[in-house]
Amino acid sequence: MQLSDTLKIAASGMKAQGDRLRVVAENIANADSTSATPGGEPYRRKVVMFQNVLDRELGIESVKVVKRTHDQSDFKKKFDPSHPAADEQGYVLYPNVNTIVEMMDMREARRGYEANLNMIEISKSMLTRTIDLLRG
Amino acid sequence: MNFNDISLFTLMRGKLGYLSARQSVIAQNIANADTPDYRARDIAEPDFKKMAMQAGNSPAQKLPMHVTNAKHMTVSGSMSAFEATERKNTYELNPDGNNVSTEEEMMKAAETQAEYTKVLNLYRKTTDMFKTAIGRPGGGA
Repeated sequence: MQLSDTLKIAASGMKAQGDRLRVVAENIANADSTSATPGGEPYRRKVVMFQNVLDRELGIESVKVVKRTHDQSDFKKKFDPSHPAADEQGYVLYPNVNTIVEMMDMREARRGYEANLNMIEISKSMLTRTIDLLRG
Repeated sequence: MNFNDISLFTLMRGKLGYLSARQSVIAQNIANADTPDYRARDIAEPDFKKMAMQAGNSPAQKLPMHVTNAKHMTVSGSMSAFEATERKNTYELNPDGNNVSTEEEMMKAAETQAEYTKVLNLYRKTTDMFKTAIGRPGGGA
């Protein structure tokens, strides 16, 4: 393993956290997306899954978003008979997105992103110093 | 004169190799800070004294494998001489089975960087000494 591998690993971490942030943005944007048909299902919250994968070509283990699944928790129910998506009893299903949970997820993704960025900066300065040896 | 025959250079080269390999492992830990069931890894420090004793025989230059058949595979140059193992005591263990603490990793990364800089400065000083010996102006500063 070399210092340049460090950069690749950290970049893969940044990409994974960026993907996660994108899903968080999707969830927040769709926090109020109800169904268009009466009694239909609203937007279902998405979650990402990270996995440690071995890059055989480079011989490094990086991180990847392997799966985007849906959160299977219950939808929120609101009584609103005049809503176009209301069922026979007058209830409307709202997405199972909790904005506070999404905000927490966002913060965590940002912190992870920053940590990876820091790692790149540290490795870059180490590399630069090594190259500077040539200037003797 | 071969630089590799000087045990101090062998030692520094070995240490730099070890530190950059360790930095890669730390980057891997940070990248996987949110991966379920991932355990933090680290590389144990090799015995640098032993390394210096057998100069020119650093872990990067292991004995080549004997090839008796055209189909035999040789060890590729990219293979690392340092082996990463799971770290024994970490700060925390998350409910998802991940025990990477970003703070701990950042600390170790800074530590590795400082060590790396130290060895690089040592390297520069040693080459400066040689330059002084051969009388190049400005070399002995």
